[in-house]
Amino acid sequence: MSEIQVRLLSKQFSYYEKQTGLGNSVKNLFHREKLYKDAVKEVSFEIQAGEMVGFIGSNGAGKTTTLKMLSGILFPTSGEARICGFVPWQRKVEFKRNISIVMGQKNQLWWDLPASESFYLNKCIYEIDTKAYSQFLEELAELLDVKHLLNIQVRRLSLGERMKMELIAALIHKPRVLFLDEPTIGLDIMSQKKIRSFLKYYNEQYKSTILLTSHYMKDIEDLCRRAVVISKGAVVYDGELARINDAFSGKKLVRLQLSRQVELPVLESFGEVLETDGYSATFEVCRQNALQLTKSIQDKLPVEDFNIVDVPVEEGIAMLLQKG
Amino acid sequence: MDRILKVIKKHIIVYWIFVKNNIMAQMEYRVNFFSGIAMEIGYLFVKLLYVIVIFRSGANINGFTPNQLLVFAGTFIILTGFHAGLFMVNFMSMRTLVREGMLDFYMVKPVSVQFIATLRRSDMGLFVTDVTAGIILVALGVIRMKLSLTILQILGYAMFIACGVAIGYSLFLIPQILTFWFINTSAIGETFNSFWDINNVPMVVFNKWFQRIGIFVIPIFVVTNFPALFILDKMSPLYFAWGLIAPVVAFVLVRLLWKVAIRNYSSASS
Repeated sequence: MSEIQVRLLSKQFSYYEKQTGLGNSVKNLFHREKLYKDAVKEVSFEIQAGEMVGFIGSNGAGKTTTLKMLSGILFPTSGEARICGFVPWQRKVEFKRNISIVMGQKNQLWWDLPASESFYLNKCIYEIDTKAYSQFLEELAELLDVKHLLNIQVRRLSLGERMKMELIAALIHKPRVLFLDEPTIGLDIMSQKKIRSFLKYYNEQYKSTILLTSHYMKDIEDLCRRAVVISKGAVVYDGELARINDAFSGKKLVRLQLSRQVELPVLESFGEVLETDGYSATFEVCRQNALQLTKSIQDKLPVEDFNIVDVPVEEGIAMLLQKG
Repeated sequence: MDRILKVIKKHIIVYWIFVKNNIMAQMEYRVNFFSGIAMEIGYLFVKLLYVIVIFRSGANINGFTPNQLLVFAGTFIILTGFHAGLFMVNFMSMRTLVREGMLDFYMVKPVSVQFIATLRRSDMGLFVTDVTAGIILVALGVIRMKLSLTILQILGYAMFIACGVAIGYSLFLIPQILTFWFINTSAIGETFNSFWDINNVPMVVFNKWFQRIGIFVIPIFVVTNFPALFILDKMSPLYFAWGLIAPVVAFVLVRLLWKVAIRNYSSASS
């Protein structure tokens, strides 16, 4: 049975607009036109126990809203979901014992106290046996290399150190399902790497099911074999990360380095330009036209260097999101 | 039954850790901690000055002697300790919790969300000062009146204090719960909070209709007047019964309101 089952899950938020100026604020006091936004539209997917899945989408695509519904924080407008057999928004104690959520931009640790005090609070909240708690805390602290920081006030820790502590706080009760919402946001490369290797180890060792959102493709590529791509609230891709570009299998990218600046209209006369800064350019072309186009470009533009590549995963996702 | 007891035991343990964490967090800032203690001791003396004020003025309100007024003032101060030291520090931050989506982490913990959101913070300095000052004033009043209290009367007084705490918690939480719908309810909350000081004087100073509303509709007078009325043996059977029923009704109502409100929680964008 799937650990996470989501069927036609939707969430609609209401909001209103206010035009600039005091006059419009006064007008708004008496009349507000209620507008609605479909943050999540009929999202469906299933995740098996022990799977680590990347949940990808641009800002405002509906990733965090979906995670919040799956962790029981928000009620959906419609649809169904079961996590470890529980309906999340019923918020049963047994459900809460089996899940955890880490949000890169929010923290659950007591700011003025060392992280060890917050861990102890969680130990009591989750009723963890003292010996098991001590052993697991030591293991997690060693894996994340923060053993020497456990007794330092949280506010004195760096962002990377704090995120490691947040991970310990979220995992201390060994949840079956872990929701990670941008756990590496704002972290330096070394901290990102450490957290990635920790998550990989944790997933393999404890067979936990992990749904990960991140804007850093490296996180997703390193950790997840499968990706669910969401755009404007709807799932636009669900499958193997490596096959995400199958949709673009007929496409190639031609990358050029130019010896002098070439204006965009000139470049566009050769094909679809994905990006350019004047001295370099990337074209998206049909596989069969790639060679012919390259030859034509070489003849007419001041080309210093060029290469033809398959569409990389990251750009494939970007194209998916644009089309979604 | 076993399960309920287990849940209560767990919440008591977690509450103790909340209290401990708050004290430890205050201790992290040594200058503030020690100056806070000095300030609270100062406040303690200021509150004990009530004795002088009451006796100097020779106040005699609607048949209540200065000694009896001392019991009223003491009871009000004890309950203010609970109100300001244990509840308001949380209630005042409810708006921020809802508006900034900080309630998210509390929602996923296997303990009552209402429990964490309304009780995790405390100001023990304020609590201890007020409760100590209040007990001293009540004791002074009782001793000066030469009342010989039985254990049952003392337990009864403590019970009505507990009932007052429960009503105070429920009554002052209601305007904060509206935050779930309206996000910013600071004006309603602050207006309602100012009602707390209505208990500063015995309810007998108000007219009959105002008293009835304050007892049976919005039971604000039940909070601090009833324990004092009980210990002074001025409590009617109707008040006695209502004093026990009102906290249950208020708590059940606020619990139901909370459950509806929490469905409206919309978190905040990340």
